[in-house]
Amino acid sequence: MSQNVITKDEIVAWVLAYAQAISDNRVLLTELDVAIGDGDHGANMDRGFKAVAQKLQSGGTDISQILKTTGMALLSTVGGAGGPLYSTLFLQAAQACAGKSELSLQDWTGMIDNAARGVMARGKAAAGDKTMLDALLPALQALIEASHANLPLADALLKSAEAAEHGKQATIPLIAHKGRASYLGERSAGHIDPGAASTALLFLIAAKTLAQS
Amino acid sequence: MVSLVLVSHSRILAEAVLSLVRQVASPEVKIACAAGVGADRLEFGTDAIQISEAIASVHAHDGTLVLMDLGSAILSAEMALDFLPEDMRVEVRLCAAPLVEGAISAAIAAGLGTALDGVEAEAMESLRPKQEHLGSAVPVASRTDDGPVVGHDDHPSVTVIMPNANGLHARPAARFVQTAGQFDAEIFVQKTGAGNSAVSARSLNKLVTLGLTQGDAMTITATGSQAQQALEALSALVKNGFGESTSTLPDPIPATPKPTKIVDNSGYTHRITPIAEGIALGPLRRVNAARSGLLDATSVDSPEVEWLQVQNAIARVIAALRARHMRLSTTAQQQAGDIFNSHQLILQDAELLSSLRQAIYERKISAEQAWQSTIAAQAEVYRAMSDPYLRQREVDINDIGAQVLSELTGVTDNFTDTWTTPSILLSDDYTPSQVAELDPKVVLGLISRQGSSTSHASILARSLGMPMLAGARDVLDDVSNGTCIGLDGSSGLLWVDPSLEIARALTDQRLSWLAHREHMRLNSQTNTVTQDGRRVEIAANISGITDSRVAVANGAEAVGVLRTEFLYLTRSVAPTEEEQVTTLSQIAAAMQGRPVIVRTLDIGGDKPIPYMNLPIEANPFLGVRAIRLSLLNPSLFITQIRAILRAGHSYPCRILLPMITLVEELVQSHKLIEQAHSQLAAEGVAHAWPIPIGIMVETPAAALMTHEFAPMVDFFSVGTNDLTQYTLAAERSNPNLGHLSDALHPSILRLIDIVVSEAHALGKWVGVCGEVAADPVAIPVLVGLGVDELSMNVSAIPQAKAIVRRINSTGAITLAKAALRTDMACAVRDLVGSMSVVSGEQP
Repeated sequence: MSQNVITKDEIVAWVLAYAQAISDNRVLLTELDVAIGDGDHGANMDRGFKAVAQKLQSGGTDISQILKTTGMALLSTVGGAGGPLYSTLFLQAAQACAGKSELSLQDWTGMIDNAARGVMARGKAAAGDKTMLDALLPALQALIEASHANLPLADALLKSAEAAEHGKQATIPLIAHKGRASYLGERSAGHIDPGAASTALLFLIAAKTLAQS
Repeated sequence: MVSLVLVSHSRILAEAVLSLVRQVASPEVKIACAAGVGADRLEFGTDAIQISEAIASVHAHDGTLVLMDLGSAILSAEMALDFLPEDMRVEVRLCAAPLVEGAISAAIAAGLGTALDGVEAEAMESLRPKQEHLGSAVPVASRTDDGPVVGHDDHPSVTVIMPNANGLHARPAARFVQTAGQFDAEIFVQKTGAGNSAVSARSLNKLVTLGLTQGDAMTITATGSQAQQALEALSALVKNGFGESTSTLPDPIPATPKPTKIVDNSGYTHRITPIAEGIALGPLRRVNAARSGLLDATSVDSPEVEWLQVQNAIARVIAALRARHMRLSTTAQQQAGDIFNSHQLILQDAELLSSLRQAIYERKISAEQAWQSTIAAQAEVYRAMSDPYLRQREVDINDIGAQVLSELTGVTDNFTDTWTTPSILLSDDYTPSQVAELDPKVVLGLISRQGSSTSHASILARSLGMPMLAGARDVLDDVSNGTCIGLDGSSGLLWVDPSLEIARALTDQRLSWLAHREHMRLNSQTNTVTQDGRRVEIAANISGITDSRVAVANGAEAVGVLRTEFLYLTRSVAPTEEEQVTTLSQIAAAMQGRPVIVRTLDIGGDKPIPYMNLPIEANPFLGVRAIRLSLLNPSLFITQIRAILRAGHSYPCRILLPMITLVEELVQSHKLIEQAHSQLAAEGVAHAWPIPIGIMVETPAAALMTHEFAPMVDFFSVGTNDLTQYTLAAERSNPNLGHLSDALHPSILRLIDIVVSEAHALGKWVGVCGEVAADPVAIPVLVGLGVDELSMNVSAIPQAKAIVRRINSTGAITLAKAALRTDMACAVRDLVGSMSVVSGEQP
């Protein structure tokens, strides 16, 4: 029987599992980025999350602080555009859950909402620009719907992971309007956006690690 | 002052941009880089934390402009702002300008004290010159509203000609903007010609978009309280080539650069090698036309007749040379006479005669052809030599060749023809005697097809005030005699049939150059002190009696270096003591009581001295040369010292030992000098004793050991040409290493600083005798370092005296201290430009 809350230890487990998943998918992410970007997304994210994993070795005092530590570590280690964007995602998330020791579905949804707003503002991108937002925004939408429907947290996380995965697949025909891929213009169509891929992975790992206890 | 932060994915890129910027911008602008991620930041990427720290490290209340490359750099820079305290954040601006162009424009504007808005605006405009140059379709704002139309009588203005080969590109433009920024004046610049609008001298980008190329005339207009000073400073800057050449004296790089040709609407303008400064405008006149192309090969029947003909021709030339030698020996031109003597030796060379005979008898060719091919082969041998001095022997060979050929063919050269219209002469090259015999009343200037600036002829041209260019190659071959030619001996510019506008500007420049020359000459006859009373002796580097007369005329206060190599070269036996005493006495007498510092023999294995049998060395400049050679040939050295001591009995002579590296060398030299003295004393020959003894500081080792040398010498003379070569490990004549030949590099200045402070601590004086001693940019720095004497080419003396007289020595000390802390030679040059320690009218 899963619980309807996300604990501090689960947040640490989520981030660490994501770090491991990035490491495992490093080659895949890089291949995606080679197709339409500068081929460093896998390596950059792996460098960043290895640094994060290092910082989170000793756990953390509270959820907000763990997320902030993650965001700050990413900032100076990722290097590519993923650095400021994922850093913003985690820092904005941290801000939204300040003072909370565990997160309900509503808390989690509000946190992802704040994170998505931050990423949109930082990258000045919108849905359909073939960016990480094309996975992040559908995941958020799924969470909002699940929240209204009062679904169990685990179900909601699963739905958001599926929505992110769909969003990721939906980036294939899109033409990039932001980032290095936008230089390719129409040639960027026909490939998955690597940022959407790493974001979909983030929600997949969330569904696998959160609300499990 | 606005600070800058450069953000890039690549640390190497950011650092390279920073060095580019440092070349043009004031060193006072604070600039930080934030670039790269990972170990040593060598991986591509940006880091918002690093950016925010970089901003905080340079930020002041005037604001900080952040320039970045692309992608994450933009996001990271934006993110970095979030980490800054609110009061700082509002003073930081992220700039959308392209990184390289934007950084350069912004840094220059910041260096001028422009506010943040203005710095950002300059950066945003920075692509314009490139876009306009490449003709990209971009809307260009009207520039007509920039300033007054030049030529209004109510604004003071000046018209100057762009001397730089690459036109008004970013570096000279930056210097222009910096200089303009020092004055309280609104300054506008216009490319001379109808329909051109004026642009503000405060905007680098707008200046560059004027598209001023070499030879273009530009009019500078100024209003405001310091308008006149600004115009003087700016026109001097332009005339000096924006300080792009390292010296007002031409570089002695023997490789003759290819003439470059620029076509503009005023006719053709070429840039060739500048040899002797000054402006000339007049009709072209070819001289020495006897030197024709190679004769066709025709077979001859009787080699005996040909051999006889050529021998007779040689005999006639030798007779003529003897006559000239006799005539010149009785006049002041002893040195020129010696050169004719060496010409005679060439004609009597057994090897030359044997290959000539072989050509006639074995190849059965005519006397003319045989002579031409033998001379050509001989000239080629010299041309292929690595040493610039020896390469110049080619001129002597060709000169001799032409004289014999004239005799053979009956076609005489017209060099000594008389003419009455003042003209600009064109010849393949000039021998010293040809120049010496020219009448300045009918010779306005000289152009040679070949030639390099270290030849004796060019020294004479400078002394006689004849502007001279060399290396014209074939650029004037299609120009007919009588065509109007303009030349600028400082910049190397050559105009063929210039427009009226250019001709007028050149005439103005010639008149002001002549007036300046006369003014300098009159002013140069008294001892030199700085504005605030510090004595700096201005001395001459000379190598013969001719130089010493010119030195006195130009106001030399002493001979800083009398090179004695001329006594030893181009002869078959060593000079006797008597001969040396006579020559040294003649030179010292010509100096009319001024001290004469005689440098002992300074040669090595790169110069052939038949009677010394020097081994060929792989690295002559690192081999047995100068004092090392003298110590290995003590009898030769003692003979020279005896001659100096004897001449010193009647004249104030001093001894200068070249290339002393070790203390032991000085100890050994002292022993030999004392030995010479004891011999003379024992023989009862009158001589000077004791005699002041100094050493050349040409190696870093000598500079660093000044403290150890000081008790054993009376003075030091820093030979900056060699000191630079040995410190920067770069041969001066290597055209690829020009950037390693600037004696203003801080490493050289630091060595000079050591020499001066340690010598002064023990009460010994220090002179500088390299080319840098005559460099107007270097003089304030050297004076600031405490140098007591500057010794230079005789023609540079009047200008150097004028500069020293305008130096404020306290300011110069501050300047020198700042120069010692820089990290590159161009930063030193920038400093001199930005700290005005030389006051008053421009030279």
